[in-house]
Amino acid sequence: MVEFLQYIVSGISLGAVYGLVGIGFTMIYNSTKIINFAQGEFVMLSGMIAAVLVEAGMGLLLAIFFAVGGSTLMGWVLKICVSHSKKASTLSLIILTLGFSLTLRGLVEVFLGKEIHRLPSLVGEGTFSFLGAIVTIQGFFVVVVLILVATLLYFFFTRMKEGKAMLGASENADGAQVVGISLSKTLLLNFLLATLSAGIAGIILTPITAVHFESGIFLGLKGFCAAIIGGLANPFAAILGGMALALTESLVAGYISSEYKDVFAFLLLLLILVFRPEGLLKRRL
Amino acid sequence: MKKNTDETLDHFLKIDNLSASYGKIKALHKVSLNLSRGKMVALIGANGAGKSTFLRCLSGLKKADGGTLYFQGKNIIGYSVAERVKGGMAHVLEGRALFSNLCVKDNIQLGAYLQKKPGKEDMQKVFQHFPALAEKLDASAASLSGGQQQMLAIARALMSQPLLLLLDEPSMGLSPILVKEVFQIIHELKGQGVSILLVEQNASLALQYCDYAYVIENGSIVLEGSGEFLAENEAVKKAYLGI
Repeated sequence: MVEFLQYIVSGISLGAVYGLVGIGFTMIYNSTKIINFAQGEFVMLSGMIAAVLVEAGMGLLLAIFFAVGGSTLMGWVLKICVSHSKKASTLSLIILTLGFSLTLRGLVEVFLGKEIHRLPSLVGEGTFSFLGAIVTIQGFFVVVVLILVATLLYFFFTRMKEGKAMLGASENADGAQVVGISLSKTLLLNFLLATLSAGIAGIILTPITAVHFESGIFLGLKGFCAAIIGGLANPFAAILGGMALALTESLVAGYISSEYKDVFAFLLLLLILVFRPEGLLKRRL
Repeated sequence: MKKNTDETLDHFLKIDNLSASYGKIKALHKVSLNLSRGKMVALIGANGAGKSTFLRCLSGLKKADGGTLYFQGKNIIGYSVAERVKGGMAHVLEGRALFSNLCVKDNIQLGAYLQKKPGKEDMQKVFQHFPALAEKLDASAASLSGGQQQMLAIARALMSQPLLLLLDEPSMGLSPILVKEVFQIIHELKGQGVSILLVEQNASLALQYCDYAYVIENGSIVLEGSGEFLAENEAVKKAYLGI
């Protein structure tokens, strides 16, 4: 029982990271109908900037500020690229995000190096026991951050005018325009929020797993799977998808073999696509 | 912004030689139309005649190829949709274009998106016309009946406190009883001083309620006159009234 609980605890903290990355996929998909394959690179970029700045002697909090800011700034650049390709097909825009992803990875490799970087823990290295299972403080912190981000996003989308305008614009662009909502502004907000959440994911993940210029490939893929499994129509579904994905990985790694964890994770994705293509949670926010 | 002239100031809405196209296909060809404050003007025509394109050019959703569009004395042809909404124009789109997954209250409140602080009074005013919506504030727009959705679309437009309401096919998909109800509300709005430009395939109804009407065919105005005059015109009777 304790063993099972241990796998669940590990799965939940990993699922929180996948969920944070997945949220960004759903937000950009809902405003543009494109899958942003650069999403994982924003996580990597944030982690790399923070780690390199701290290694250079900058204070942790200031480094985090520049890292999340830098990642969000690149989200703004990607939005400009997408906006300038208004007449491009969805497929062309998806290829654009792939190109952006390769460019970001290349720039990080050239300017920040190929080495693996680590970031000091934000909350300490200790552990505590939960019903016999060992929980790391860092893993617990990841879940707390996810809950905080999800709560803020929920408040933004359900209580604030700009959040509702973003939901409205993603549903009906003409309807949004005739009440005066600027599609360009809502698109920008979507990109900024998506890359901000990716930046935050990078900061909380790097102390646990370390980071290098290719980390974004794996994270982007897992975040994409989380969004597809949960359902692209709803940002919070990505959290559910992330949890389902990570728990599958954790349980398979624990009870079968860690070699098979990705096989089962992608099998879950395949089953969802075949039997419930709209995802676990098809209801829009 | 072009300087106002005495001639343009005389007109609440004055459109001259408005043209628009989709690629190589001409949708509107030098359309001219006038509307005085507080009046209702109807634009009737067959499917694909250019009626909706005309309204989209007016609200700014579609860029016009040429022509002038004076609203309250200003040529607003280069204005954005938001600037036109701020200026007092509200467009109720064909098919309603509601935010289906948002609730009725959110839909209505988003209608006042550009208002700094929309008060409860604004909503109460709107509910005077649509009491049925006040009872369904938390229901999603998608769950409403066709008639209620049309009322919600008009209610959302009214939240911006428009001087000019552009209505695109408000009777579409509604039962005769609901059509009558919707037109009664439109008539009430006109009575309260809202100017209305109505695009409608139900020509007999449009001609019955409007002060003046234009007939559009293949993107050009082919006939105009008062509602009574056009209702008696043989060509209109044959083509649009089925008489």
